[in-house]
Amino acid sequence: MRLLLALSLALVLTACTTVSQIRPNERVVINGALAVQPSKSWSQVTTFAIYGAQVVVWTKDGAELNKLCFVGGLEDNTSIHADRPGKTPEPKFRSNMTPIEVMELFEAAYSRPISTPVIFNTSGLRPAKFGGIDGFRFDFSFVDQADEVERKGIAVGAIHKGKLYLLFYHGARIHYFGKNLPEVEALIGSAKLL
Amino acid sequence: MNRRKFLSAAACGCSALVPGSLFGGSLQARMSPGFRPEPASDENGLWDQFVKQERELKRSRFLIKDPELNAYVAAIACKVAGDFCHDLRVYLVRSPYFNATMAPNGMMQVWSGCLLRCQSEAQLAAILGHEVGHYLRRHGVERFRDAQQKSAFSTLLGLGLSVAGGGIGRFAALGDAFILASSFAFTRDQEREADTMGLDLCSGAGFDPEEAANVWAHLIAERNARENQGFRDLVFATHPVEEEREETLRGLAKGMPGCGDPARRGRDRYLHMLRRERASFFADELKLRDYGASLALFERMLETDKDDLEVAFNLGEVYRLRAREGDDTKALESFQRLAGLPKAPAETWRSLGLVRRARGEGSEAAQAFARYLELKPKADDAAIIRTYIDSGRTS
Repeated sequence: MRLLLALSLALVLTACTTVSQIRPNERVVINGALAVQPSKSWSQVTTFAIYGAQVVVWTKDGAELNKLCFVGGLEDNTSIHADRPGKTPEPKFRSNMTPIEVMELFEAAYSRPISTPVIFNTSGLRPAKFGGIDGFRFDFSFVDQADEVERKGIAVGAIHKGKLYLLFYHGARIHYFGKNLPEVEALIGSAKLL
Repeated sequence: MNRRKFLSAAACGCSALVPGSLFGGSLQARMSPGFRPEPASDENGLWDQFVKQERELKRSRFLIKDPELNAYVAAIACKVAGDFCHDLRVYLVRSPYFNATMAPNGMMQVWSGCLLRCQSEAQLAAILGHEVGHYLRRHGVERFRDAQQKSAFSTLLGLGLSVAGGGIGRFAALGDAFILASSFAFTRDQEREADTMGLDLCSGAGFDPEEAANVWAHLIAERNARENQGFRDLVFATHPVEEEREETLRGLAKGMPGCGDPARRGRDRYLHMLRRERASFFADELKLRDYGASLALFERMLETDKDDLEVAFNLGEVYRLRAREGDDTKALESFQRLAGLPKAPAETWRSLGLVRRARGEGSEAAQAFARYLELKPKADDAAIIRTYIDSGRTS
């Protein structure tokens, strides 16, 4: 009986998350809208969730340790995360937002507690090129009470033809954030908005 | 229910929805100062769990460090707890919701959402008094024993259902809901006791007892203004327990010394002690994007003190962030009024610029942004603001 239960549970869990390999030096198009060319391999993590997010997630060492995320062309009046029943509606992107407002949107989207509170800070917002157009860049850091691990991150983005494009990377402050940063910077340099 | 979930449930959150006190009269503490459980007892085992949790909490990055604020809140807790002062430790935790908890071993947590919402020392004392009430009546161990019985029954129920071949997850969830529902009924009695005891303690310590009812009145206003009423509110929609609680507390307070006496509220001292942390509490509140509730909260704060510039600024921020039709006008009104005052925060001009820019008023936006940088030349976002000034001037 126990074995049967364990097997059913394993089946359910494996069906929830799939991992696929991103090969080095091959052009990858995210949501048909944002192209990047990694120079090293990554793992794309796809998690089935009823209330999913419009975010594509890659990782090098496991999603708990570092994540590279893409928002490829978020449309006007839509949110990064889907609304959940009984929860306050997610903040919506508007095409006329300034980078300050996009950063505020990002901060709100990632600091609203799902189960445990999160301390989230953003800083250093500045103009930057992204995907060949004028965009912006900022730094962020956060701690989730669930594991109290300090994480650091960077985000670059741009609004192009009314849609939001974001690439952000974060990892545990100790070791894992810095480990892949040069690769992430190269990947940012390779980005093209389609 | 995992260990962490159970421990947090056993720590008696004060935000549970319960009716007001039905006990009247004074309740006695079920312990003496310096109380320790019998070494071989189940209560001692429970204390050990919380001692471990407290060790973790002491290392938490969510603790608010401000020594003056910590000493101040601890002193109020001491005043309320009287002879039991040395049995309690108060921890201030950064979390934007209204809550405070009391563990059976005397570890009390007060969340920043609670500190932001209190409008006076007496309101904070009412919350602390309520939590001390839980401790003195030993509610933690009561809940522990009750949950032990219920979880044994639930295991049996869960086993029977899973053998019957149904969806395991669904039935497990039903089992949890069962425990939750009966824990609620059980807790309401405890909450009534804690309310009664807390009120006595606060009044005895020289605080205006009516402030306990005012805390609830404000929470009710916030709840009613919430745009998404949520699952919890749907379940309890037919039971206006918070209203009952407010009414009962107000009724009980009427016969107590110092009721309604502004001199026993300590509003100015409270806000003074909060001054260094308040900006981060406001920022956390805004990040929740619970616009209706935040508007109700800030409007109520302004009713108490219309000259509180920090609140006025954040009220404008809610409209700016919500950005629905007509919100730009309301945000603009708020920021313009503030901009005319000598002590307005520099961020007023930043927000004014953002609203102007969203309205397509480029040159006015550029002026506001320029003023912001004049006041705060080393602003963290100065580089991007300069691009707005340039584009505004040429638009």
